[in-house]
Amino acid sequence: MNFVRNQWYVAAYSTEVGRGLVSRTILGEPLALYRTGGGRAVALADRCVHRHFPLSESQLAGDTIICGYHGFTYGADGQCVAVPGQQRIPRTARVAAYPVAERDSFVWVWIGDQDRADESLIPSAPWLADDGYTTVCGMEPLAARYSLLVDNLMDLSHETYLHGGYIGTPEVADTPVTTEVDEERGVIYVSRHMDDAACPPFYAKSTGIAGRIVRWQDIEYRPPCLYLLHSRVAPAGVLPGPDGSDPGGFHVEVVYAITPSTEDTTYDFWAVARDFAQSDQGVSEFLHDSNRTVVLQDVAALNILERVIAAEPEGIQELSINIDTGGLAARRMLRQLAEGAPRVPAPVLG
Amino acid sequence: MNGMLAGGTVNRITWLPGTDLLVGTCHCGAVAEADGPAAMWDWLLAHPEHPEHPERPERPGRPAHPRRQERAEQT
Repeated sequence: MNFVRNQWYVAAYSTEVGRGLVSRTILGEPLALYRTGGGRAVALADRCVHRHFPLSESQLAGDTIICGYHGFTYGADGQCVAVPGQQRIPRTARVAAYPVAERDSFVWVWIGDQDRADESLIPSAPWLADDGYTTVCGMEPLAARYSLLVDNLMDLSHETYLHGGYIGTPEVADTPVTTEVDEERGVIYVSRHMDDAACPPFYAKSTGIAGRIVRWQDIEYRPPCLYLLHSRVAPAGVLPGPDGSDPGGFHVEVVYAITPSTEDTTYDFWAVARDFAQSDQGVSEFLHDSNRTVVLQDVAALNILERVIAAEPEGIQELSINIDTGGLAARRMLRQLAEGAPRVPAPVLG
Repeated sequence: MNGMLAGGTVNRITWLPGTDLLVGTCHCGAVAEADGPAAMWDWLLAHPEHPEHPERPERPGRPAHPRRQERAEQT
C-alpha cells in the first residue's frame, strides 16, 4: 500500500501529550511524543541511533530524552547532546524531529518531506475547540488498513445493518445520496437528507425528541486524514429558516481522524461535538458510550474484513453500486494524493 | 444542504428520483446518466473528452445520448 506521505496526520489529542512520553507509529514511522516545559508538542523518531532502543520507553529530563538503554540524550530538535563515557558526540548522532502543529484539540504531524510541511494545509474541525459546542471523544486502534475505514465512513448506509439500535434506521439505507467532488481543493461531499425518519436511540435520548425526525447527514471528507459528518436532526417538519437560522435543529459534528499506523493498522480518532444540552453530563456520558460502541462495532467488522482481504489473491473483483459513489471518489483521490497531486487549502463548509 | 460545493472544479452525481440511475454533472456543464458509480465517474473524469455513450440503460422517453448544457455560472 502506498501511504500518502506529504500530508498532515493526527497523531494524538493535545490532552494526551504532556510531560510524559507517548508512543505512536504513523505511516510506519515510530514516534515518541512529548511536550516541552514551554508547552510545545514534540515528535521525535522513536529509535535511539545507538542500538535503536525506543525513546518512548526512556526518560524525559527537562526538554531532553535520555535513552533508557545507554543514556544517549536528545534535545527537542532531535540532536544528540550527550553520549555515555566520552566527550565527543558523533556528528551523525541525531534522530528525526517531525513538524508538529496543534489545531482544534489535535496534535498533527507531518511525516513527509519537511520543506513541504505547510501548516495552512491542515484541515479544520473548529467545533472541537469551540465554546458553543460540547465534545466527547476517543481513539480506537484498528487492526485493518486505513482504506477500509475510509470506505466505511463514506457510505453510511451501513448504519442500518451494522449499527441498528444505536444510529441506524431503515431510512438511512433507503435514502439516495448526492455526491460532489471538488477536484482542485480535494474535498468530497456526500449528502443524505431524510425528511421523515425514525429517530435512533443515539439522537432520541440525547435530544429528547419523541417521534419522527428530519435527519440530515452531510459528509465532508478531506483526504487523507480528516472526515467530518455534519449531522442535523429536528422534529419532523422543522427546517432551518430562509435566512439559515436553525433554532429548532440539533446539530452534531462527528469528526474522525483516520491515521494510518502501519500498512494494516490504523488509529481511529473519533469525536462528537453537539450544540445542545451542553452542560448535561448525562448526555455527554451517553453520547460518549454510544459512539464508542458504534466505533467498536466498526472496528470489529473491519478487523474481520482485513483478515479476509489479506488472505485473498490479488485481483479479486468487488461490486460497487450507487451507495459507493462517494467511496469510489475517495479511493481515487487517495490514489492521486499518493502519486503527489497538489492541493490548495479550502475552508470548512460546515 | 444539497449542492454544497461551489468551486470551479466540482463534479456532482445525484440519484435520479424514482430510479436506480445516477446523473452526473461535470464542472463544464455536461450532463449524463449511468447505472453505476464506476461508469459515472469514468464519464465525468474523461473531461473534456466526455464519451458520447456512458454505460447507461436505454429508457423510453429519455435521450439516448448525454445532453450537454451551457457551462454553469461559476461563483
